[in-house]
Amino acid sequence: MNNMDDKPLIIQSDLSMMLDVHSPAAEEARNDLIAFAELVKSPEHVHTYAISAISLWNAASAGISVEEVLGRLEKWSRYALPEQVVFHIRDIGGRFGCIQLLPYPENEEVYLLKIFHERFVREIMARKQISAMLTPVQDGFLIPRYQRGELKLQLIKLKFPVDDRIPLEHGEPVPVAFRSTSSRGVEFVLRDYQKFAADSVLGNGGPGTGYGTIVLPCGSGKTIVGMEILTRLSTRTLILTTNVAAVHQWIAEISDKLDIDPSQIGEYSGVRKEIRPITVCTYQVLTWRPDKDADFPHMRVLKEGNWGLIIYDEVHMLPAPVFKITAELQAVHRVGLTATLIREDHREDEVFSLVGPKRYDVPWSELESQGWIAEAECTEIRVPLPRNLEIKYAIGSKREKYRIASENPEKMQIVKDLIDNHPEDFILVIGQYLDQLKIISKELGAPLITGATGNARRDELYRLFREGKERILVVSKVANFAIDLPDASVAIQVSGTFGSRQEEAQRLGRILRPKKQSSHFYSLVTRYSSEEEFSANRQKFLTEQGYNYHVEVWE
Amino acid sequence: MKDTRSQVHIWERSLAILPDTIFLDIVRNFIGKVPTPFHKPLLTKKLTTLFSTDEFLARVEASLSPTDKQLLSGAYVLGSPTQDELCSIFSDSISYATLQQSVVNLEERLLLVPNPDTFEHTAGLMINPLVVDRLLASSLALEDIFAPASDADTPYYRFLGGDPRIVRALLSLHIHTTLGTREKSEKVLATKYIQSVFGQDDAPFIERILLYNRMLFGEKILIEQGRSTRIDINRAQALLSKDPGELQLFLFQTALASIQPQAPKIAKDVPFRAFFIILSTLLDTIPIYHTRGLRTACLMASYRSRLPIANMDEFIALLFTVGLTSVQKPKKELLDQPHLQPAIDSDLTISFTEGVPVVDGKDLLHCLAFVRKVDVVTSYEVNKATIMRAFDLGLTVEEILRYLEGLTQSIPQGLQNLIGHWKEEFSSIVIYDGILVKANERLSRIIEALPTLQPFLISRIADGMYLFSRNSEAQWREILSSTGIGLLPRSITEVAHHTSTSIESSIGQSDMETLRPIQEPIRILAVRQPEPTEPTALDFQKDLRKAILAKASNKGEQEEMLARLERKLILVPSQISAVQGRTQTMQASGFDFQGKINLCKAAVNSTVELLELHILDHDGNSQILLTEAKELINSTKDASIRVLVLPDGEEKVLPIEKIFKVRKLRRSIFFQM
Repeated sequence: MNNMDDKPLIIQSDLSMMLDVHSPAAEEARNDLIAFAELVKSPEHVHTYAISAISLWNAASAGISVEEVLGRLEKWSRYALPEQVVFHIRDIGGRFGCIQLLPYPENEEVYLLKIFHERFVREIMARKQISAMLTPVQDGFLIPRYQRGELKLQLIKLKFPVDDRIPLEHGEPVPVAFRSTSSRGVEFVLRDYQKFAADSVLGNGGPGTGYGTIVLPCGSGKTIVGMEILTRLSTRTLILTTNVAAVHQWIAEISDKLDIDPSQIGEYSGVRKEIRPITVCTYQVLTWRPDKDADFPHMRVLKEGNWGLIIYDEVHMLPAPVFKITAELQAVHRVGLTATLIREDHREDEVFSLVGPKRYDVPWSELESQGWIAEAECTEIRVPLPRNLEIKYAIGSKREKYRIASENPEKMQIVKDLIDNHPEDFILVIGQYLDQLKIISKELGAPLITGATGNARRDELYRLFREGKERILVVSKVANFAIDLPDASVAIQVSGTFGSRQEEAQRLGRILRPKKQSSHFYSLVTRYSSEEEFSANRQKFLTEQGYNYHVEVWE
Repeated sequence: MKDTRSQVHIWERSLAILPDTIFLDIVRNFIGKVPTPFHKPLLTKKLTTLFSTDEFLARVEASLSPTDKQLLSGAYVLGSPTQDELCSIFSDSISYATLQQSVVNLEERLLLVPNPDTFEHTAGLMINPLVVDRLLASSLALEDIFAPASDADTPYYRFLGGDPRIVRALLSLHIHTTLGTREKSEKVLATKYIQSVFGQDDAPFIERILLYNRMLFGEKILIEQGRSTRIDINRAQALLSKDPGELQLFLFQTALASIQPQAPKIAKDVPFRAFFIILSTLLDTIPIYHTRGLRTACLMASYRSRLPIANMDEFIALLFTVGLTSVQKPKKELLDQPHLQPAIDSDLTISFTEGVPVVDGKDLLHCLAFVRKVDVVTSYEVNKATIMRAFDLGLTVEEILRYLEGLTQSIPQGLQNLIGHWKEEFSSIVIYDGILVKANERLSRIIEALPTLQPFLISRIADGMYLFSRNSEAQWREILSSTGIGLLPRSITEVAHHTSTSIESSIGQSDMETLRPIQEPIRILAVRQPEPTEPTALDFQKDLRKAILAKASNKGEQEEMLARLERKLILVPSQISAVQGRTQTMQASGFDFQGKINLCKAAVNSTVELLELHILDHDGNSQILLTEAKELINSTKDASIRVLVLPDGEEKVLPIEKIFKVRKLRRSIFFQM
């Protein structure tokens, strides 16, 4: 049995850390760890954290010294710290501060890079990609302002962190505050974790603060955290999000909860091109260009808006061209918001480098236990393939096999049965393949939303669903992210993008808004097919968050 | 410890084997003048009585110097060391000449006596059986051999112990990935798995993991079959059930076999195993902090086990490769911390810190889960592929569930369902290995009806089609033939037979138990009992000196007796009597050139005498050599002496004029070399 003297943390020689969540001190230890370690997974018994070079440097930039890190580890560690862990933390963590980026008062177009170790100078100057950016002067090197992000990124790749001492710019002031009661008449109070998340990004306002990424579960109110940061900085703000429906949701939320004139809020999308003190924009419009060799005409919105704050909603979706431009916007406050920082292109580190490090992350199960997100029961239903497709499946290519399994017509009946089993619930049927979704939509007599559905029609259908006038929506992957449907309590996934963990989590996220009853997530998978393997992979992120899948076979 | 009667018996045997002249010399020293003809048994009895007297024994004990204790403790651990062995284990810290003379002194004090069982073969010594118990009770300890550390936090050497976690992890990797043959698996492990699974990638650690891998092949737990590898689950179970010490030994054997062509044979020998047991017992019993102590321990283990070590430095390096390491005493507060009990998380990861994952005597984790991490926390992952593989290895759903439930107390319901589904999927096809026999209707009736054939019949495939066991082909063919068919046709297509799975194993036939007694002396010496407070050597030596001065009739006698007192040969007043012959050490020095030559001449080719030569080295420092004199070259002013320097036997020719002091020393009281 655990008692109060038990220490909850076990530190491994590879700098991963296991937190025994059944220990009474686990919560306190967790709060101490998140400043310098990243949460890797948080199932029900043992949570895993990892210390990386970047997490150590981020901690250092926020004022947490190497000795303090070691002190916290000593305090919570159940066993003696492995020698190599102490060595590694001292060695890697100790590099922070050896390279500083400072203002250069004589010329505002450049910054001064100071390198305090001759060995580091030699190593850095040996890299052409970096030395090309640097102009030697008496007390260091000069670097053009616009290359600030790129330089930091390149140096981090070489394991040289830059202590960026240049204060962030504040942008043009925009007075804005939360209403105590929303315009819909609902009393509004910021939750503790939302406040902590905002605190973790803004810190004390000194160098090393004012930018970062916040990871919170779907349905836990990331938008509110973004708005809290917006009100605290009260500056011109650009919000980037994934699609027009999400743009409209942001605008609706801001209008509802912030005390600001609607004329101050703009939409910059394919439909409208408004630039206002608070502007919400899609990634798509930024990255649109007439042809593949042309410039991105709308990217100027980012550069020329005199923004004091940029919010990257669903930052895991950040497209590559926006990475590049973000590297040039290092003087602006930046906040990334996401529930699942998993990128199939493995560029998570670049998100951390350019937008900002992960500042706040909380286990899903913790918010579930506190009632801030809905309890969800996940069920995988295995469906046999009809006999007439067995041979077709057996001789198909890998891709064909997956398609045949995904579009298994037997799934239709199960969808109907599940809907019958949930007569009171609001239901999303989510899938990957349009042909399949069209058939389902037709059979159920429920509206279908796909990429081809116009924005106005999408908004209308979402509105009807929110108002309870539509109980079932059949949706393609356009509804994977950023769509807030508070009353949805059942999601039936009929097909998905192969083994995408992030998609699975985001789809579950559609039904996690807190509500009286539990939510139900059903994933229909063809038995004895490759879909089973992909499904197992898709579920990894959620099982690592403590979700258990029940497997049922449809006979 | 032995009973008194048997100790007296051994003591008597020890004295009985001594030549009369030596015996008489000894007896005279202890009980004074001996009239001739003498009666040996009577004299032996007198000596026995003397060595059974409390007062005498107390003085024996009080007169022990630190070097005496060191040598006696060493002798006790070694059992029956030669004089040379005893000296060489301490020669790193004390000069060989001093050690050799200390041993001779212990011999003449009858604290070390010839071991009657080894006398003829190895000239072994042992502690006087009449005093051994008393010395063990209060005077001797391993601390005399291995100095304690000045600081409680000083790291000390110990074997990590064979790590079953590593064995289990490697088995899991071999079962659930395609590591392939021994050679291929070493490459894949080094490049892909060692860092990710074990969290370390320094060269010695990689070498150790690869040794474990080699051990699995060497012990025939992994058996190469073409390009792939088969696992013998039963042998794996047997190996995993070994204690860490035994696993360490297996690893040691593998390491030795890797570096020496003749080593595989040596590695299976009893001396080799004895060596390992002695060394590991020493390291477990007393903290050894310094390299010097480690070398001493290795030498002791080498002499005790009779395993010769050609190059000690290489050998110690090998010990470090197989798991010898330097550790610090864990802090008490950390020892009190609870272990992480095995639990299955929702992502089907099983994590735990300590303990062997054994349920109902079975260690199956590696069979049904893939190793993710072996560190402070060990993590395994269960998934469809690993469970399917477990089925393939012959585990049933019930076995898997029982094991997981016993291990983790509760299995997520989802996993239980999944295992059921996976079993169903696994069972959707059955692939038999056997020989298909097609028979006509008449023979079919016979095959189905004949009880003696049934044990060999795997399955009835269809009418007239039977699958028979491949391994017992000869037997069922004979039975079928005997039914009246006569000569049976050969199989239509011959397929290579599988090798037998029942391979003779050394794993189950450990001689560890039989070697346990050699650990006993180490354990006995582990803790020193409180020393007696009375009497102190100073007290009685003062009185004895007075008595000698009073009793000696002339100066020569007085010097003789005082020399004996100095060498602790006189412990009680009854020993104060003039002894025939000189027992003083003879020496010549300085300008006494002729004296030096005479001593050298007398020692040439002597089997009982050595020369201690004091010379100056190139830097002008005094150097003392203990030597065997081989030849005196010339006897004039330019005389030189050819000697063998002990203990290494290096030959030197030294001009007498360069030797500023010569001492003639006894080589041994008992032995003629």
